[in-house]
Amino acid sequence: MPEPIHPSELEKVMKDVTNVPEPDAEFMNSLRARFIAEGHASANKNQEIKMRRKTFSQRLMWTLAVLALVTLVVLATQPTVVNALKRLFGYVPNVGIIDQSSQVRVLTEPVTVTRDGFTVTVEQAVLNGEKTAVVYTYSLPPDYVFPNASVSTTRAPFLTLPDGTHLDILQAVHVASSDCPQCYLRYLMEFAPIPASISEATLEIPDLVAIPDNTAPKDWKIQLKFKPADPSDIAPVIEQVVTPASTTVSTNAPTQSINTYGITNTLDKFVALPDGYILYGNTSWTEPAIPPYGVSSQLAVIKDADGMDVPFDYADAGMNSEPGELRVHWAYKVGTNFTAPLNLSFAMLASLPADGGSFTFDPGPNPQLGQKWEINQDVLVNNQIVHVLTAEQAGIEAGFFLFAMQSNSNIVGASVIDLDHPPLGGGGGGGGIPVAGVPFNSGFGYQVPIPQGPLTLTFTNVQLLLPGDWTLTWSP
Amino acid sequence: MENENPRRMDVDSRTVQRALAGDQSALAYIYDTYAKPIYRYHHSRVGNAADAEDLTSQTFMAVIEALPRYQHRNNFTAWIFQIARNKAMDHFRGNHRHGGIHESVADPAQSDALEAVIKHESHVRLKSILHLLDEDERELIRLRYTAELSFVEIAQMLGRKEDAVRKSIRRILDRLSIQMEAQNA
Repeated sequence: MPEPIHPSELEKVMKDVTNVPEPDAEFMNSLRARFIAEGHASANKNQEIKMRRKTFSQRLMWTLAVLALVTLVVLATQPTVVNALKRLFGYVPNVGIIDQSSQVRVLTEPVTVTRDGFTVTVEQAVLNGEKTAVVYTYSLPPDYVFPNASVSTTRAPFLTLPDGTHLDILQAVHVASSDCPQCYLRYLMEFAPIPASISEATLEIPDLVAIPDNTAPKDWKIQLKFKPADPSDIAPVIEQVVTPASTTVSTNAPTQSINTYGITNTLDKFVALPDGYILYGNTSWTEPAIPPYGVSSQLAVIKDADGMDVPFDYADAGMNSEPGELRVHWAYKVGTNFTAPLNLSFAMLASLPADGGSFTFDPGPNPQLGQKWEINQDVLVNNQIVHVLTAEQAGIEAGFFLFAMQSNSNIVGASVIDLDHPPLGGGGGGGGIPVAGVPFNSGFGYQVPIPQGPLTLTFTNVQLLLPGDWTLTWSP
Repeated sequence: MENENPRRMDVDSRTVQRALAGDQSALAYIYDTYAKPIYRYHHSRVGNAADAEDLTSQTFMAVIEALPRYQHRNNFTAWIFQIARNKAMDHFRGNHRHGGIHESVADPAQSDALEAVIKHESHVRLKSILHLLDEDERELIRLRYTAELSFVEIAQMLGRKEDAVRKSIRRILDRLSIQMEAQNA
């Protein structure tokens, strides 16, 4: 075995190799201005929310009381409006959440094949009506030497069924392998589902992934046998699917979904972990004017059955919206220290294109950072009045202006643009959960030198805080 | 190898409180401290400037939203990089859903942008070996050498013990060292 390179020398090379190009200065400055301005705006908004929370809570209490009464009437007259259906999902390590609505089968046992010192192990296979997932690892011989010319040709693995049918690989991802020190790679592959009547297949791996050509055996064939899964193979994941109650709004009814303005907020499933639960859900809408990602459901508070606030954190939702899909996915994690059921109260925000509306503003010949201008103009946007209150040159660099606005409608955010001048950056004030009627900020960044006024800012988008009580109730 | 992070990044609780109160100099300090490391981290994963800029923007906008929920335990770096990591994972998950096997196994260490900086033979050899690391190992390398996080920060971010992270990176380097030397032999 040759002497290894000194670690300090390798570390230096490593830093060089992992170096990346410097970011574009204009981008960095633009984002900096936006971050500072929106962070500033968010702080102001949060302060205002705190001050108004008490009043808001009182209004909310009365509103909820009325809505609960309405719901009771609806439920009394339409007892079938609320329906519940529970299905089981399962969680398999290195595979993830799987649907158990059809029979689930797994590998009878891991299969290991060794050739010329290379070891391939198929650790797991999970078969259901949706897909066939196969996880394999491989390790290299201890004396394996990487050639200088490392061209790797990887032909795709496939499954062969006993009747000769080939199932092509649909997708594949690396999976963490820190629990397997000898493994060079762990790989999760997905294929089309295998009929339940077939209990065997051959995994064919033409080339080991990322191994230089002609340095490892090719055309691996590994026999796989499947058996029905038993409870020890799959950790429980509990899915909750509840029929939406059309337009009912309530906190007291056992309703998991409510539907207003085409929006449905749904708690889909949860996973029980040793230290808590991950709650998975989605928010979908049918209104085509609201674009993909145009609805934001923000979890405001979780209270347990004793009325105590339950801390929560964001979790990995595990899936993204399809292109063009009017749905967003969310996930939150809670601990175990609570009294069930939990009430998850959401604020529901929707972004809609503005139908126009503009205002003018003249920063003068020499605008200063931190300088404020009174605007006091009312603008009609989407049939609602938005009062544009002030402008402020915010941030650290010149050119970024925050416009304070307020509306007595449910408009709680907006985006504006100067159609006559190229932007440095722009966007609505973000952060926190907005309250209707409370002033909000919208920013727009000009490239320097700042153009001479008067400048015309046109609304491009408004954000609405949708009415209703978006509370989901959940019990483990 | 055993030296701690040479570019110490630290945001104390007072700075966070000032940022939460809207103090622009505190927000600027946070941005100036982390913007480039986070950009580099994203670039090392996606391999192009456009996506790295997009992910960096997403990360900082998410920071504004999440800052009120931040609980200071001397772990701001781990916290903000966890946000960055989640954004990167979302990005790749979306690509994986529609990509074939070749996109899925594409190696961030083999990006075109990196090609430009690899000039020496030893770099080429190291690069050829780096792409054999699994995703966990590559992540450790990215966090340590591209984002330049300390062992403590990486440990906090990944929920592991500092010593375990230190040993893991040492093992990776030792293995790379042996493999590079073997190629020289």
